[in-house]
Amino acid sequence: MSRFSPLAAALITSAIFLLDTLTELDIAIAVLYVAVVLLALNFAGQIGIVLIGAACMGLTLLSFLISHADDLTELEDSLARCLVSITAIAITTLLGFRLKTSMNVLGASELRYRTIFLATGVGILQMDFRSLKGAIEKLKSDGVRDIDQVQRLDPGFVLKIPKTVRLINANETALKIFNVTDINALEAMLPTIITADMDKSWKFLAAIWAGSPSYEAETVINNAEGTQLIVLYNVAFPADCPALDMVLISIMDVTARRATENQLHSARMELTHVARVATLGELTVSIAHELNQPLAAMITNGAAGLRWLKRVEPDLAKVQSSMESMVADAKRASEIIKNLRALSKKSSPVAAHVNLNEVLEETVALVQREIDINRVSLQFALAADLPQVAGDRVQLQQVILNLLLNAIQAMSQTSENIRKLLIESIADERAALVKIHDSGPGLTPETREKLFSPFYTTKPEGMGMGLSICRSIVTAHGGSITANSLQGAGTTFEFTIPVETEAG
Amino acid sequence: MAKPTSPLVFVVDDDVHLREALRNLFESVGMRVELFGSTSELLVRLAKGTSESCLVLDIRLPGVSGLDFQNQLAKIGNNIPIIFMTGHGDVPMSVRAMKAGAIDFLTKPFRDQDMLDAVSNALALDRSRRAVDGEVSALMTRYESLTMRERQVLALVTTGLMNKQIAGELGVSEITVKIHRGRLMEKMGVRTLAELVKEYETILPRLKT
Repeated sequence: MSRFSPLAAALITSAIFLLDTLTELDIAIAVLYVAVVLLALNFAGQIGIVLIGAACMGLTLLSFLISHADDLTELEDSLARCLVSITAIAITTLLGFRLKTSMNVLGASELRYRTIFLATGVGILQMDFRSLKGAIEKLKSDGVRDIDQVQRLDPGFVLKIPKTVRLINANETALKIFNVTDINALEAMLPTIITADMDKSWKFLAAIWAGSPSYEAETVINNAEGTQLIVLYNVAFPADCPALDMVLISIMDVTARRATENQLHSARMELTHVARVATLGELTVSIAHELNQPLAAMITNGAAGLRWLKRVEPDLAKVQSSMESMVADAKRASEIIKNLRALSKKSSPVAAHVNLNEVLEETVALVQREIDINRVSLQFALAADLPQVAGDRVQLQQVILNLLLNAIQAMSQTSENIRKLLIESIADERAALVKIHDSGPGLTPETREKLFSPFYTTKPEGMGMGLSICRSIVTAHGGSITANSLQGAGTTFEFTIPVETEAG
Repeated sequence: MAKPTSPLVFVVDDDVHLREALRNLFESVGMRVELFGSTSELLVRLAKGTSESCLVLDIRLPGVSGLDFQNQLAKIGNNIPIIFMTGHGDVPMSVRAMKAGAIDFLTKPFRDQDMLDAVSNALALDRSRRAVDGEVSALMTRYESLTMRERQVLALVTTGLMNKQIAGELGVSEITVKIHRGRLMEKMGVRTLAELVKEYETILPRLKT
């Protein structure tokens, strides 16, 4: 239409000009130029409208001059008609100019939003949920109380979702995420995507049922190529479309982010394990000693049993008790090995009920020899009513092991008669608190500041990871770890682990 | 089964299971055993006096170390023979223990025969020490039955002086010396001068203290 508009406008202009100039009708034919200005709205810009309006006014004036050049009769009437026409054209031009201006603003705004819609990094689907909404409303009016009841009565309802929703539009990013070339291909994929995770689909229905403003979830889907993606999506139900005729679903592909997080997590686990094994390496001699005790007892009981048996009158009761002792000794040895194996094994953290008092006692047994050869006097002050905490036993033991070894090492330069190690557990309403106090030289302000930073160490052979890992373990358990120290009066490390709640 | 007079073995180790295992072993060869978790408990027991006995001591003990306890016993004059046990072969430590008079130094886990041999040696040593001690005490009792004058004569006789010289020394008659000498020989239960000299040398260290 707009292609022919300039031509049509030119023809109309010529026709009006000829009629106005050559005929002598007592009407204001020039008023018809208004049609030309209106027609120009289709093809001319703002300036063009003004120019065309001015041209029409010029032609009106020209016709007036031509038709009255030699004849001045009825001049007054003609002049009035001419002025009316010019005024009409001017007003129309002005309105046209205004209209054109606001059309430009509107166009710019629409362009901006279109650009955002198409080019944003978030995939956006524009969907029509009217049928779905209708189906839900029907269930409500049939007296169904909630979505759980629907799930019980009609488990297949969730499979009807794909048929009751329509894809109106999707942006480039959405097409890219699903690896399809056009909207039709995407629409064909919808049923598989929607029904991929039934559990989430029901929650999504529950959100519509409850009239929530939006529903957000993360889910695993397959794109057109069959590649598995982790996507975070948000379904917005705009308040001004209660019929759900325009629902916007924004989708973010978080696959790479989750992969990085997983890598980071496993790297952290690896490091924790390596540090633990390194700590165990430091304790080899102590551990050998721990194992030696039950072995010595076992051998001695065995030898004694043989002697009871070889007597002229074998004492079978003693033989029996000797063998029972041997079994008990062997069990103690295997307990130690089990404990060690748990510490050296590479396993993902397991949440369990942990009694920190037990862990403290077990860990002290591991470092008992270090305590003895360093002539450290050990004192326990364990809370009898210490609540259980939820956590990974091995990791918590690692924290305690590190703190104990640090404490013992901190006192190596301290005079022997004042090497005191105090191990305390305190029951709190919401947490179990463990304090490990040494009588070493204390921390310098500089050390205290960097204590928990990775790779900070005051030991010549230290890796500087021990306390950093302790902190990450404690933090992962929802607790906190701090060090208090007075220079010359020893150091106290304390950490808290929240008590497991009914819900957790 | 072990008679009250049979030899007694004291065991000190902080590990109750090993203590009990050692009790089992020693009882299987008819020895009496008393177990202690710490050296302080043992000290209380030793103060009550013991018959023939020895001590099996872990070198790694809470509080005081085995080596320190060995010194402590020596200081209070208790020379009960000691056999040390250790969790790990530590040469400097064993040298120190042996120099201070330990009977043996056994590394856990030890052979039962090694432990029993060490204990037998320790008990034999204790027995002979006690025998010597018993002999000395008997002589001391005899010595203490002597009069002041007889003791003076004894001291001079054993230095090799003649009766006449002793008489001159003490300012008495030779006959008086002879009488004293005959009586003290009788009291000390000897017939020759050589026997008397030997007995006197045995008790001499005690007389000096």
